[in-house]
Amino acid sequence: MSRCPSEEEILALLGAEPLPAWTDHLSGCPSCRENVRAISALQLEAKALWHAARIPTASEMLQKARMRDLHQVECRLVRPITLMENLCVWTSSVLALILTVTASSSAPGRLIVILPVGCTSAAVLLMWVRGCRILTRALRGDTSSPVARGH
Amino acid sequence: MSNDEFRAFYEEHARWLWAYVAKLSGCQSTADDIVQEAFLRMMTANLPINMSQEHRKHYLYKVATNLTRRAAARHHEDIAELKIEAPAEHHDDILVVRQAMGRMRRLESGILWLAYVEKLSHREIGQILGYRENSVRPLLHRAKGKLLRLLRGDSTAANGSLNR
Repeated sequence: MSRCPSEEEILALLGAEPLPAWTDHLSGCPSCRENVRAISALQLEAKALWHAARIPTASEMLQKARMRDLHQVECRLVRPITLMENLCVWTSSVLALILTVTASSSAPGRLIVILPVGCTSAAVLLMWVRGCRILTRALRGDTSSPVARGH
Repeated sequence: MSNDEFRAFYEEHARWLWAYVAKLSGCQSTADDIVQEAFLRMMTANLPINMSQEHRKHYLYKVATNLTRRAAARHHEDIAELKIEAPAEHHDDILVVRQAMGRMRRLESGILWLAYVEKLSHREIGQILGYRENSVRPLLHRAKGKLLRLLRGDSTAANGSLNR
């Protein structure tokens, strides 16, 4: 079937308004008639889908967007704390390893000095890690954390 | 975009976007997820404050199209026929076009929808689907030809050459 030069013009008008001006043309042009039938059916299908659409309300979407915004802010805030926490864990592990190696290769007299220093450093680092965790939980809104409870 | 502006924009476009994604993906639950995700991305993106409603709409359709393509690639899905009840007065017409479009490729369905349901220009369709304006006209022509052939009952039309 050959392509009609009026085809695009007719299809552009379709759905927006009736086509009385084109009635004569449509009755004599099988190509346009077929196009109009196909695109009209597509538009009917679109309307059927429009009615069947399952969408949340605008208020629900605004609420979800707010939640996502808060989550993004939380991620940005928590990132440096998590970094610090990881750094502490690695530092304490390396420190513990160094102290173990030093203590095993030192004279027993020096062990009395090294052990308390090592234990104190490890305790301070562990407390720092614990502090970071509490702060992270508080920023995430975990109510079981001491900071969030107001302690 | 103020909350009231968003509400008006959402009321105007959400259902049409859902219909577009449902048609493109052939899956209602995918459409539910993608429409929400597209709107959330639009709301949380740093779009220019003075961006026009039309440009926002194009942005939304572009995001939804990309999300649908990604979801389809992940699940290796073909377009399925939607299980939505067609209104009684146009039941047969809708069923026929639904069956025909179910046998078309995703790009072909998308391009027909944007051109004849959303009534977008070739330039706008190109922006949404990621094609140059000049490429849209032949793609649209081929997609329409294929739809007509499928509606005539030509079973060989389903093996067309347009990519997904």
